[in-house]
Amino acid sequence: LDTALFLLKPGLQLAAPLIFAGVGGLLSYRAGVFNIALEGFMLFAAFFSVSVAAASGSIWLGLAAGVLSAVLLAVVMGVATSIFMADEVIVGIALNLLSLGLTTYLLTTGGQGAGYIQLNSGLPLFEAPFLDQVPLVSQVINGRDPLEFAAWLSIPLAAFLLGRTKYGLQLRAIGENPVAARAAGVRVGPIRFSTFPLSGFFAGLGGAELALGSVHLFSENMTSGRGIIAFAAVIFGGGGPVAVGIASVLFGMAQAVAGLLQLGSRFPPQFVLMVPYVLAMVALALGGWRRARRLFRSAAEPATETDPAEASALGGTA
Amino acid sequence: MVAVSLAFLVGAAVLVATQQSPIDVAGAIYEGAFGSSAATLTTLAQTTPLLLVALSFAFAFRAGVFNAGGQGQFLMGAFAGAWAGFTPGLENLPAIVHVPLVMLAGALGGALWTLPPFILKVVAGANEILTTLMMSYVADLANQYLVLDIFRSAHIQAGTNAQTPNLVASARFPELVAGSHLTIMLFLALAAAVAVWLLYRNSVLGFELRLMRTGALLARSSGVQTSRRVFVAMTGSGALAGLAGVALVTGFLGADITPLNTNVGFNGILASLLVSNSPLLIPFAALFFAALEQGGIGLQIFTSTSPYIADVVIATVIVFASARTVPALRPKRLLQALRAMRAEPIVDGRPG
Repeated sequence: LDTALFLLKPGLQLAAPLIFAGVGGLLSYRAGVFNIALEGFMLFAAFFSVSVAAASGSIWLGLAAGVLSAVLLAVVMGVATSIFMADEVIVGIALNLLSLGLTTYLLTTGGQGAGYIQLNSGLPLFEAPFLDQVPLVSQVINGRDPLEFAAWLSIPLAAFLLGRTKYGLQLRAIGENPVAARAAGVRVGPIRFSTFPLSGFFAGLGGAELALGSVHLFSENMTSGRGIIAFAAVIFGGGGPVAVGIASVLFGMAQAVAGLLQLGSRFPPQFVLMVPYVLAMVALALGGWRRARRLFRSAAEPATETDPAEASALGGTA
Repeated sequence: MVAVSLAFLVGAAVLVATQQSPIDVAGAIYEGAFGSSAATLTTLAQTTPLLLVALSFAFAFRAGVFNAGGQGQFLMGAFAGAWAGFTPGLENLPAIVHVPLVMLAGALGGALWTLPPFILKVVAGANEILTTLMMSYVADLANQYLVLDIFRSAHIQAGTNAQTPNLVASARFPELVAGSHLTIMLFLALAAAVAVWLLYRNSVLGFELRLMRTGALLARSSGVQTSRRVFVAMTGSGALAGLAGVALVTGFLGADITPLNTNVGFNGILASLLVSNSPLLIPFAALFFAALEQGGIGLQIFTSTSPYIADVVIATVIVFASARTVPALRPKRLLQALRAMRAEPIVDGRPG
């Protein structure tokens, strides 16, 4: 149990970027956009938040710049796919490589020449000393930066946006069936487009948290697949916000375990580091399997409009 | 061509923003890629792995399978090929046996790496784009482990990369021109491009694979055993990517190294996409990207500019080239497109 408590702190911390990116991916996914560029958005935000923070001396300015850069990259993707009708997977892959190339280029050209940019301090941490006596609560709440709390809040926010607003309803309608949505008077193009800056915003927060959080540095390709893992979490969750949160915490914990084993034992660290990726593949398989079963069921009973699985898939407010 | 020029403009803008002279850099890239006959030959040698990965991507893509994990299959092919080349007991084999053995090992290594995504796709319907990407990260770690912990050799290559023992001479193609790293692997890769083209054009298997792209349901109802065809598409693609790894190991490195700082696996995908996955055009796309990469390396030597600018340009080319309609050229067309944003029914709601 002590180990479990010990893991809770880094685990939740590592989960925060994934939650943000997951929420960003969720909004794309529900609008029917297969967004693997989350990875690039995160990397952009991580780099620009740290480099602007280093140049200006202000963490908050860095945060704003990082998120803005991710939003801009997302808008590029939106323009490419919505106006120029480009394939979103192809643009996604290209943008991921673009962000990797550009951040590494800027890092090695303008940076400190050390392969990373280090900040003196990261985001301020929340401490409530009177909670130190309460074991579990202190682990969960103390020593966290504001973005981590924001990450948790983004889950109900996404649930509200998707489930309780007109915008969310239209967005989901587009994701389910764009032709029907258009027939029902939904302005498909603009709403679909609007999900790009939104997902860029959340993924950008995730990238900024990754860089400005506990490590407060940027290193080459520091996201290393987190955006893709976050999107796997979305698919695993079947598009439900709470499920995305749970999957993110799971992946965060796996990373924390990896970090711990890396320090403590002679067990090859590479195998431990593989765990989140393998877990993501398992999650994808489970998600795919569940979807297949649902399809099978709805095919077997054609008239079940109130089928609970379908209803929850449509509702998704959890 | 428009996409390429626009990408160069973006690259130039990035250079100006970081206070470098685009003209000097372009000159240095050209110099590094084609400046001397040695440079040209090295560029050609660089083309080989890129060509094979691009072909690997096209092979699967034309059968409706999106293999985004060429990088991982490439890494595993590089290791498996190297392993067959340095493992003790084989050094007395004649080259005529040993070289094909190395190639076979590399192809197997790449093909094996596509098996988990294949199984997950067929059994559970897991999206292969994401699973193959995941496998790439796993491959990177696996390669690190194998090179660092199991097969680490005492001496270290230029730079501070750890490496496996060197491949024995009988496991490597002779260099066509000494010092160029260029081997007949390039011609084998070109032959593979023609073979893939012929396969898709003139064979029953190729027809069935093409049918898969139109839609698995249609293919199945036409009597194609879809799972088997997906298997062919994925493992064949993995084998080609694995051969790209062999090309790098036998041509350039002479051993498997870590960290293998190359994006060949991803740039190959982009090279294939640049020419709409057409096997006969892929060699040209590969040459173009290889020249940019090789020129980027020259850049680092001749100037202080970071070689990663080449990656920026390559990725930007694809962002522009992926446009299916170019309405922005005429204001009227742009207006139409914006209006179409409202009207366009997006049929391709890509399920996850």
